[in-house]
Amino acid sequence: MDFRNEHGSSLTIVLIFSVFALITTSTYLISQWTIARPGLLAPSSFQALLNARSGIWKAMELMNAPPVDTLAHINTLNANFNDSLFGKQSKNLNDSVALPPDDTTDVSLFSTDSFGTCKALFTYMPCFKSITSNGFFRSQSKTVSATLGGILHDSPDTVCFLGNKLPPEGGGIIDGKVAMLQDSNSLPPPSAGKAVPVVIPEMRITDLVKAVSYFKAKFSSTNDSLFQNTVLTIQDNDKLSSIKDIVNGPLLLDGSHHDLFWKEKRRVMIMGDLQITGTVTVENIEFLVSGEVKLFDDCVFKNVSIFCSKTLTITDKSVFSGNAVSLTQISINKRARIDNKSVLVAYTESKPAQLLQPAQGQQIPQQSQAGQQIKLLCSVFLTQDVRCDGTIIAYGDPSGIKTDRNVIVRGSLWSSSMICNEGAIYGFIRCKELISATELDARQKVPPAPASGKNFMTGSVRRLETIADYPYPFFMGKPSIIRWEDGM
Amino acid sequence: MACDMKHFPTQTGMTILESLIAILILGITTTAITSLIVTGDMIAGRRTTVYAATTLAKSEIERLRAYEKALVLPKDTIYDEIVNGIEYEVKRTWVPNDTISMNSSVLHREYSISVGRKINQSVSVNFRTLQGYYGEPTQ
Repeated sequence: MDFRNEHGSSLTIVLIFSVFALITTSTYLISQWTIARPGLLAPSSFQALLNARSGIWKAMELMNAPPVDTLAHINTLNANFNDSLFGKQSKNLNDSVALPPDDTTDVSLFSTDSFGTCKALFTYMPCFKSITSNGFFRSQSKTVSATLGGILHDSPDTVCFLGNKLPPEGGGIIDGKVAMLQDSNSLPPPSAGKAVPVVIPEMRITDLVKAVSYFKAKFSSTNDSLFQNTVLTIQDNDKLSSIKDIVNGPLLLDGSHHDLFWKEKRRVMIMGDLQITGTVTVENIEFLVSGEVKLFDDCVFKNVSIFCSKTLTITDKSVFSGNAVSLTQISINKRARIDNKSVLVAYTESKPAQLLQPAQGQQIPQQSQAGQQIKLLCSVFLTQDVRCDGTIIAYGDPSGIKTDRNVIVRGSLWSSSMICNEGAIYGFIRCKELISATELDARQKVPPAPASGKNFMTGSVRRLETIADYPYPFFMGKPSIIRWEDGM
Repeated sequence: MACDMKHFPTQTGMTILESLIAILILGITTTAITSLIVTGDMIAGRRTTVYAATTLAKSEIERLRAYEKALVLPKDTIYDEIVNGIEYEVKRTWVPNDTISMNSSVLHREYSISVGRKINQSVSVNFRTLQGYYGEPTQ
């Protein structure tokens, strides 16, 4: 046996075992680090989320802050004068600077900068305001969206808010209290021992006009630079992605041959009419339409926002949920359904009398004939077995609401003038006067019949326990965040 | 006998130098392995602590948000919580902030939330948030 071959063999074994042990231990360390990393990043991620949430509150404060009079604050003798000319591009908002829409803004959050930053974007939806806030902390970022609306009604007991004290005639059912409309500003302060009268907050018309001006400005800026194209017809799901953010003409979604399903979170501006026919499902889209909007044939709109300059028609068993503003008229008929606590607003400006030409689904007043000159007093029509779960608001001239028999509304009808109610309402109605269909026809003629001065209703209004859960537009009631979407 | 002596010398076993090098390598390796294991365990321990502290902070933030709905301004608070047998201290304080303007219908306050181990305060997490209120909250 030759022992010389064993020289230094133990060193080799030590080296091999050492390397093996080091590799094993390093693997253990790496695996521990990999497992621990998400947990160790949790505080950064959570602080980024808190920054995003804080940005929502800060942006809301900035939105409500009065604008600064810049001229009054210019001081050419100040050493910092003209600094912004060469400074950073993004604006840093600290105090009392109104937040402009569609403009991402750096928001200073806390008393110290070490907890990260935030960028906020505010935009109008037709009935609501939306704030999207991006919070940043170290390498983490989080996005939070908030929808701002209003809360209007606290108690379900009062079902009728009327402009005068006269009890309604006509045999209608009022299952609840009737209150007179009162201006909340003119009320005396509540004193001890006296009950506070029920007050329904009125519309903040300035806010509504601001939102309408914002959308009109969108149309006019697009109109200047574009030529109208022919109708863009989409009959295939593959072609839905080809619809651009601005459509230079009417858009027709035709689901009569193939079912169409369009789910996307985006804003589409249509410089013309929007018509939906056939089996079409649209989800999460915001439509700005310079013409009319017509929903036909079992189409389904889920969580959709619509701003249209002309008439909004929802008919033929179509289903709508979301929010919508029409600057002319809203016509819901033929077994159409409004779902999911939706909000629909008709805001109209004064129009002269016109020759009677009934629109799709709109009834000719009983005592009127085609060709006769009339001045419409209603801007919202709910007819022919409509089911509505939501809030219908009519403001301007005309601003009446007309509901037919076999119409059921859960929620509320809010009119700045009159309501002709023949249907069943669960919730409340608010108007200056309740009138009958006969009187409505007579007063729409030219020259109009004089107002009777009475309240008249053949339909019913009953209390709804969940009425406080119904959201209202941001320009009515107590401003509130009605929806949070955290941590995207 | 002389012949046997001739074959006996240093042909088997390790030299002193070889032994020293082997011991040195073994020592270095053992030290490295030990420190790696300790570091791995520290990472795991820190993760557990940070995760638990963040979870407690999240609960406290949700409590703060509940005050907003009730229109109540919460007072500063400090309390202890036990998670997996470890005692943590949760501290929430209002941070007065001069830069917040009050000329708006939306009032908000800045809060600091700090969560750490009750015994070993070296491991703690700190958060900062704004909580908004509509209208006039009560103290």
